[in-house]
Amino acid sequence: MLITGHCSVRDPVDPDTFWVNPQGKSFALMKQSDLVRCRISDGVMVEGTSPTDASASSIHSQLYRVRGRGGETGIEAIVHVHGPHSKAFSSFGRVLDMISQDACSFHDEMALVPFGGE
Amino acid sequence: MAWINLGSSVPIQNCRVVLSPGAVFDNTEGERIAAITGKKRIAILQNHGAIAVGKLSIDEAAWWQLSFEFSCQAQILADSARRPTDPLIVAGPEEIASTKAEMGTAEMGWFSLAAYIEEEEYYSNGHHKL
Repeated sequence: MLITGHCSVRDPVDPDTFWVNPQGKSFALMKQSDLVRCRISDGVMVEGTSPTDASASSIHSQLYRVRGRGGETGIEAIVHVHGPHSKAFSSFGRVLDMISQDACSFHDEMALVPFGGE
Repeated sequence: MAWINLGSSVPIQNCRVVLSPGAVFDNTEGERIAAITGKKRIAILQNHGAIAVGKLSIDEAAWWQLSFEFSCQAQILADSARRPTDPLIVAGPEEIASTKAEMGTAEMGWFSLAAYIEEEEYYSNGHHKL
């Protein structure tokens, strides 16, 4: 069972905010009312009571901010979980070979992000 | 905190920013990932996993995450099972382009998750909507 990670969606009414799952809650038992809302400009939580963590507030907020809405780069949602196969594959430093029909949907759609930063 | 060792030397963090001292209020990691990802739908975070994005819907983003996970599994199976004498047969450029045009749209991503949503609704008795 994949119980760690963050899924978020841009609020369609207030698109400068997004909804995300809180910390310490099982995906399998997650309810709509468990979600919290954060501001895209700086990741600060603006609605909800449960704590969320910095992976959600800082990384998701900046992905929404930098990529914007519509056009070639725009995004409305982000899904990130820790699947065992993608986790293992992420250590190879390469992208998928086009060995299946499903893989073709990811052609030119995979970016390699090195661990850490500066 | 969750440090997991794959093999003997590769540390994987479950919450990379939380674990970075002083970085909790620092948004530069998100900016860095966004800059590298550009307009792509999958960010492969080295030693961590994948981020999938949806251009139109969360259903789409969830499908790309699931489909990418399954595709990584298929890649690992193929890499593991291939004999030294076996060829690596990949789709040609035209096959890739036509398949992506058909299956790889934001709308198809959204549609592809529908059966999983139906299953979720069934097993949770609709409780996830509460």
